[in-house]
Amino acid sequence: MTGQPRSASTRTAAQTFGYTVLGPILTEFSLRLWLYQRFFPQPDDAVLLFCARGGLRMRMVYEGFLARTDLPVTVPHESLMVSRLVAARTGAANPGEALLSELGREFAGRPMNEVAAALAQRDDIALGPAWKGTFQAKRFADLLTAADPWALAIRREIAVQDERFRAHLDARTSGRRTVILCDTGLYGSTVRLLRDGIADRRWFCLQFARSNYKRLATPHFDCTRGLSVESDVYRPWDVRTSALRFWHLIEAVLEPDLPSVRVFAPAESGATPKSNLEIEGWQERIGHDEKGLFSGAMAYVEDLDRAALPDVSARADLAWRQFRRAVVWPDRAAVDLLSLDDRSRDFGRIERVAQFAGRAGAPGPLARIRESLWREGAVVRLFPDLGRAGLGLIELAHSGRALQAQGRRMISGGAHR
Amino acid sequence: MQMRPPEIGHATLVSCDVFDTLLHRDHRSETRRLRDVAVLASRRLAECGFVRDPATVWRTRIDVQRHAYRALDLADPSGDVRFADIVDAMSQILALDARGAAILHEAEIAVERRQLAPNQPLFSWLGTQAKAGRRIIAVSDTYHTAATIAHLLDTLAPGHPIAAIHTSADYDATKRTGAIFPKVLHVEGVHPGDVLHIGDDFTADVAMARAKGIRAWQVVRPRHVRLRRKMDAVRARLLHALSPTGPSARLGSRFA
Repeated sequence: MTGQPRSASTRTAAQTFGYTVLGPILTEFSLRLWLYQRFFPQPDDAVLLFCARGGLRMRMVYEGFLARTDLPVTVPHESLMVSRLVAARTGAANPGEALLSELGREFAGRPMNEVAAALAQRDDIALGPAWKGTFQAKRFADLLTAADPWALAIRREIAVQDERFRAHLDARTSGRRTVILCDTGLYGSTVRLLRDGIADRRWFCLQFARSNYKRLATPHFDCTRGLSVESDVYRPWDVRTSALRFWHLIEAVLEPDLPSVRVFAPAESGATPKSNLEIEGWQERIGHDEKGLFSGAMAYVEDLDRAALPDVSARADLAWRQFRRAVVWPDRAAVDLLSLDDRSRDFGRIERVAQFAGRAGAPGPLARIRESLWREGAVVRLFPDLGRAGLGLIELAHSGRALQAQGRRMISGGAHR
Repeated sequence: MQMRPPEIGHATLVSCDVFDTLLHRDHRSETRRLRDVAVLASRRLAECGFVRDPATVWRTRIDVQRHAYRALDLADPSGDVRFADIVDAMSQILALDARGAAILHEAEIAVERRQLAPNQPLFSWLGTQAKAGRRIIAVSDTYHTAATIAHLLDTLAPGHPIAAIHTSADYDATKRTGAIFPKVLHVEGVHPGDVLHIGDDFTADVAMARAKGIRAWQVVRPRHVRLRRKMDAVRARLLHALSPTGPSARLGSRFA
């Protein structure tokens, strides 16, 4: 491979960024994923499952990487139609800490009938007045496990959906008991929920990035790894952690334009239940990319060959530096290039969040910066002339925060291995 | 150099750690050692027609080893990686055939031979114990097999009294987690009380051995050696941090 786009002149800026920056980064991820499966103990009992939706594109990258480099695999892989909502249902019959804390985070301040409707994906089940109260973990667990007709109706709907998901999981694992999920990141709710809900399997999760950015309990971090990024905070001296400054970019690049998995239809004869994601032409839509960032990255992968393998890490080092420059120190062109469509909130809901907070949600410019998914980009948009100074201040604040976190970790003796 | 002999007590079997106990490493850090391996491997590969930059060989080795241990740590923290698997993965990434893989393997052993020296006072004490009828074995946390360790011992300390070698790579169980000790006791057919274990690492050789009921004795390298090794590691890190990255600006020149 030459390291240059084959037809650079015909590529858009997004495709070029995808090719030169995201391509090497995702290739490095693929190499690391290959190494993990190569050294995974007892591979004969393991299967690598790429989680919808971001995992579907990660699988595409991984398969492209394997095809171009001829590396042999020891752990087979498949796609898993799953979401946090689907994973949450696996633990609904016996709500534990994993489920309740996830729901508490997603539905803070929302009524419990909304939570029940999201889990059951039914808003036509009339629930008693107690369900109208604001979500409280213990109260919700009591309501969900009660013997009254409302709880029974909700539990029945959840159980039907959960049974279909388990049938889908069984089909994708083909008798192997060790499941290695492959997902984008960050916190790893899906594996936490699945490990709690389906305890008769061994669960692991390999993510692009792992980060406890919300400072929550992390009992599942023992089985979760971030292959490209593993840090709770952005550390200016660790270039890969710049992904955490604009995580939604990574998600947007990797998530195809397909609906989040919410429900499974009953299995047709001899087949396994089909998810709502598997609409007509869904497989073609995984690679379809109007923006050009993902297609640019895929073009890079398609240009790989066996001879490129030794240089994967070195090229990724260079790409990460370019990524950091674009995300942490963006200019106007970078902001235009990396502006994204609104992102879905998920967990069975249809609301969307904007990359840059508008006047309605946040009154002043500082609040709008704070509420934006990409703060550095928001600074450059709102203060085109003073933007660099603002970016410097943000960087300074992050340096202080990262040093503080490092100091805390050293004091507690909990340095990452 | 004199060695303060341990209390042998009723022990019928003396078990010894290998690296930095039976065989002393010099002041070089692991990073430096792997760089030396990479330079040698690169030169030998070139002689056989495989042009592989030393920096690329080194980086590949670091990446493979790091992710191999992370994968192991994830699913089987008490196990160990095998060197043959590291070499296999490296040769896949470096696009080498079996001959190239053999060169990677030989370069590692050649550098080990060059940078290791026998702990003569300990060997002499062990020789006395062997003559007194005690069985002497080696137990090592290493990705090398018993055969490789035997080769190193035979080369560096000919006539040594080590009767058997047990490695974490062969048993897929480490001293670090204590998992290897019961297996070794079973194979040797002895009880924990019959054994004296000697090693340099407090966790692996002392705390874990004691946790399994084995009497342990710690031998520690001199402070100046440990300090030099740390300095060497810092130097290697600095060199790496300051080096330009990317395929067009290889680290090769820094390996000369």
